[in-house]
Amino acid sequence: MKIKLKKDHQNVRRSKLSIFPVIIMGILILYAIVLFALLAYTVFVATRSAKLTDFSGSYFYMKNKNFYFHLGEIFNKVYSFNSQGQKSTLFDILGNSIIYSIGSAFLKTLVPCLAAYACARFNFKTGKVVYTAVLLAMIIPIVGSLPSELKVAYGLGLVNSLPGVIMLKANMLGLYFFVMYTTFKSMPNDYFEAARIDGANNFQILFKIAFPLIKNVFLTILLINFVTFWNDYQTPMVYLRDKPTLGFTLWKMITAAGAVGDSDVSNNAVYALNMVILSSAPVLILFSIFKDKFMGSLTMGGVKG
Amino acid sequence: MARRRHKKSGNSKKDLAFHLLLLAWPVLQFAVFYIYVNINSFALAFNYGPDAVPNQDAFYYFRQVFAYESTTNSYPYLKSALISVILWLCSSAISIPLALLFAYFISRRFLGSKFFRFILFLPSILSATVMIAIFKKFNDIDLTYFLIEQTQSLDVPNLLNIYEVKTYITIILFDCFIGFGTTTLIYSNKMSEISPEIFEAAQLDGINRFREFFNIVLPFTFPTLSTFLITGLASLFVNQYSLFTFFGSSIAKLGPGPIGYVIYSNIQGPATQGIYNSAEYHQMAALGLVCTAVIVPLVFGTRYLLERFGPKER
Repeated sequence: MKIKLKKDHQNVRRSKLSIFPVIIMGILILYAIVLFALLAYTVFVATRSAKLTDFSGSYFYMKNKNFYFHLGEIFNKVYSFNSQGQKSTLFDILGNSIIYSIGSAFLKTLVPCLAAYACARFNFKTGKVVYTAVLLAMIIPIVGSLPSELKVAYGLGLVNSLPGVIMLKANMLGLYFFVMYTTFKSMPNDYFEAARIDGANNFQILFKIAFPLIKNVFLTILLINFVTFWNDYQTPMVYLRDKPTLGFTLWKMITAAGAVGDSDVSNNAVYALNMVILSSAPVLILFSIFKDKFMGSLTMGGVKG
Repeated sequence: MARRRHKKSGNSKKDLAFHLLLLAWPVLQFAVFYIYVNINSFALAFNYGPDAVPNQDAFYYFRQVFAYESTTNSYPYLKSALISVILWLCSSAISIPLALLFAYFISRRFLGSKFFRFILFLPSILSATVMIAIFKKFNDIDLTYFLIEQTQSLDVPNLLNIYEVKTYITIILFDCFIGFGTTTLIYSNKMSEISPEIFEAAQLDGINRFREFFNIVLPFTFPTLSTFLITGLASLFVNQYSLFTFFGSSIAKLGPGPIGYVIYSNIQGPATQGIYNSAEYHQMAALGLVCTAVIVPLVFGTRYLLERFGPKER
């Protein structure tokens, strides 16, 4: 698999419009209008009265002229109880999300990074075996291993444990192993040789030479992984049922799959859309700060097994 | 002087020890959560080992799968497989051409390309749960009431609460709507590798934008397109098409749902109740194994055909 990171959109002049791109632009404008309408709707409804009698039967909540701020209120109204009857407040839920997302994202980035470094910079047969194993695991589509994974995780005591589920996710598999492998492999050997001549050991070379050279790629992958885990609700639903996350709580609110707090919270669009804002805010802030890293130029060539 | 790039360490015992130390956790994790999990999946499917259900032979759950029966539902698995194929075909037919067109628009830097690049990527940053929460609330409350008031009729169809086909169409369109970000970005980055001189030469030859797209851009992007086709096909029996996010495990009005949805919702049910040794796990493992046996040759065959007959990367 040929993958590389590259600088984008350089030295390309803006092209003139003709009928073909104008048609594409029309579709894109329509897309943008629908997206903005949905986002504007979210903010509008999230700031209306949450009393069911105030909006029952009125589209676009037009009867609610007043502005309400519910973000503080939902911290009192949204909570859940675990199987032992212990209450998780929205602060606890937020904390679970932060620990799960940061922990999983960090290890899901670090583990393939270390494995890729071991395979790319050392000439041992084990490296070639590991590389082939990751490639095979990626191209052989295995369906339905979740029941087995769940039983194994339960047997090892990883279920309902944040460190346990983070360990479950800390694997080297996936596309980013190859991104890092390619990056490590393309690093000039001169730096490493010079460090060795100066008496640096393998740890010093890894931390002082290799990591600084790969930090931009590492940060990009870390950010993408963080957003993936922050948005993930299916893993916490199955493996962390006593430690609910924000994504899982929001999903329960929209599917009425379980109690999420006070009785007036369930099926209430105003509270649900406030939860939408709360769960979107961290990723939108990260996206606004690291926009270039998020959209930074992942190029993928053909699969060359 | 030529720069040496790929010379690796690998001569001393210290290097070997360090190399093995770096690989220790990744390999251990892989051995347990990939190799052992998949071996255990075979054991579950063939009803073998400590978790075997008494009085059932090794092929009991396979017979159920091939008889298109389910322990808990009254629908045939064949219908689920067909739904998976139809949804994949429809989804690919909509999303692939549009993603390529959007990527062409962005890579050729037409008016507003940076803005549209940002707009297309935004739903990829927000979660599917967030986008579906917004759409569901909008559809269930406001769109429905708006249509009732406008048409003065209570006979207004709810796009997510009617019969099979229309609901599937809504979900497929919405799934495509929120899924353009990453694919468009990767396509456009690939397209921007095309040398500007090629486009200039083509314009001097008088070819229009339509032919530029089909004769220059599309053949150049084909390796990336074929990778997406292969990975899309590989997820044929895994993809849930946001159905679980929309409806949870209750889509009685829609019928069985695709295979990915069926497997996940049958496992999620017992797991969220704290049951980790359900008989459904055996059947889902058997169903998964049958689907793997179908999809692996399909993926490798498609890959061979695309590499053999598709345009070559220049």
